[in-house]
Amino acid sequence: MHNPAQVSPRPTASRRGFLRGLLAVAGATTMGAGSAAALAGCDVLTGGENDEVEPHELDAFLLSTVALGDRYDATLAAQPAMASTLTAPRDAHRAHAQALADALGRPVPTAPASAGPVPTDRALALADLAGAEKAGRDAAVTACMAGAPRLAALLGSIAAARASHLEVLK
Amino acid sequence: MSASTDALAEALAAEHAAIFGYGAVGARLDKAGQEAARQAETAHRNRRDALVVRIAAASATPPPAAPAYQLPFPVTNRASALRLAIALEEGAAQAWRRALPVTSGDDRRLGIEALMDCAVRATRWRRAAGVLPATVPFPGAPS
Repeated sequence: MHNPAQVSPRPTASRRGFLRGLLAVAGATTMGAGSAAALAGCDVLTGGENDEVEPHELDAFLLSTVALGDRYDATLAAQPAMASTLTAPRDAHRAHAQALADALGRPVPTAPASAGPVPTDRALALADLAGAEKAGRDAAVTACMAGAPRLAALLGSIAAARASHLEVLK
Repeated sequence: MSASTDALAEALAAEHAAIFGYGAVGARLDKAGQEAARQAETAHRNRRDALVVRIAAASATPPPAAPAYQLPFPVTNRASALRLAIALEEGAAQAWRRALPVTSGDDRRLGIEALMDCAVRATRWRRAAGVLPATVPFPGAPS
């Protein structure tokens, strides 16, 4: 698989970090932040590592950023011929995740495996990724509007990058 | 002026420069390119007008356009025209990105929309120029 030199391998997240990430996603949907925080203190998550990273309102957004890069990787694996189109956006998502994780003072999380298989048809794959980019762009705008000033420029650039990806996915 | 009004004034200066620069861009492109340049210039004019209103509402004086701007390099053919178009969008993107941390509410939203628009147009111009990759990971970040 194409792996340009400037893309460093993602650090393997601890089991605790992975589960925390799952809770962050679940917390955003059904469980609620209170339940997620309570479970975070539960023994089931004690993986032997003293994780002092507090939950952050951008945890779900960070996880979805990782998932977006994962979707590109899965598409590239299924359709290597799309490398010239997909590599730069994929690399951007990895850079976004790293920059955001750094800003939040936490490691880049591992996202759960995506539910569905990637399309094996080029046009369908482009449409699939474009849908994800559009949703991601809107999520980045929301995050930027709601976020702290120190994160505004980064989140704005992420929104703008996703908007620009839509151009090359046409 | 406050930090937010200062930042909006810088964005206004970048929009003035873009409006001026697109005149030089369009002169060296074919019909399709001229249309793209015209649409880009319109977008910059609209943001310029919005900025003038906001800065004036903050009881500050919006910096006017200069009578002429020095282009960063001579525009003599299609290649240099496209290079200038990319530079105009990147310059505006940088000014808007700097405004984001010091603005809030409607001003920050204007900034986000502007940054996205500049990034999209820059990508279109890069594609026209054959610049690869056509996207950058952090639009508006200092180069």
